[in-house]
Amino acid sequence: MISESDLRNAERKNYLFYFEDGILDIIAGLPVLSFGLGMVFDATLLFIFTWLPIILYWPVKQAITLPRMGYVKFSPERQRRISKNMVLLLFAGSLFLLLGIFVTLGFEGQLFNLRDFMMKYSLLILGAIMASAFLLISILFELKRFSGYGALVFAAWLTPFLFPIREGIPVALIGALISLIGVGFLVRFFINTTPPLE
Amino acid sequence: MSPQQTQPAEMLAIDRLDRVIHEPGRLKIMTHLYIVESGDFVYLMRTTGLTRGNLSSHMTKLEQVGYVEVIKEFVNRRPVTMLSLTETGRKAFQDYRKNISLVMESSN
Repeated sequence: MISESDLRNAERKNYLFYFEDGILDIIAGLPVLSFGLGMVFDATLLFIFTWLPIILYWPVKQAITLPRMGYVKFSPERQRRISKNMVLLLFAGSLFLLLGIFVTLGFEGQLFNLRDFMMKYSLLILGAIMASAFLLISILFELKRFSGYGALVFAAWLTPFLFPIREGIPVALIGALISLIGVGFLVRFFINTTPPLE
Repeated sequence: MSPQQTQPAEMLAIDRLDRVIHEPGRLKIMTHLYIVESGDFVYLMRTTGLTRGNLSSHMTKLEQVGYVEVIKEFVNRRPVTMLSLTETGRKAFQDYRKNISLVMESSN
């Protein structure tokens, strides 16, 4: 049947299908991975790369997803929601970048001796902020799996408090896991969709 | 008494069904264009499962009756042919939904 709720569901399914390519998962996992690796190897330069994948999102989406799924302008209501979400996401991304700079400076002892403070509980705060970013993506894009990623990210930050493991390792592992799940989605996407012949 | 007065309600609703939209291929196209503002050929091929040739012939029919319009535009400096429902098309689809619901309800 083509009831109002059926049409709403179809529209939502259509919209969500655009995220079945796993690109957002890969892009979201990479900053976590680089953050974790930066902590493990004390390579503060790696924190800068947390921003890079976000810049790559749209060009990659255009090159891979759109030729296979087609261009679509969603309903004005959905478009308004997407624009609002993009602004919020940009804000969250900027906050994340500032946090990276703050932590970098703190580790280098340029701002203040953050290292001692970090060794105590602030890792949990960092974890909560990073997990919130995933939760935000989950809410804004209506992607439930990102709530799960958020929980995993927070657990990764919590692990060094519970087990004798170097901080950064679980974060890097979870980042790698999220990106790998994205790669899995991408492979499935490539198998299921082929660009139609002109 | 006219023949129409003797017909049951569901029969009258069936008579009112838009035959252009009632064809399965075109119904798919109308449904998938109704839920978005516009989409290109690839989007419709993917969502409806129709081949390029089939889609093309249905689109011609829908364009002839004024339900669908073709908009040429540039997306990221590439020309894209976007298809969207006209106001008439949206109204016709809403009427079709109303009538098909009446048919289904009265037959239950």
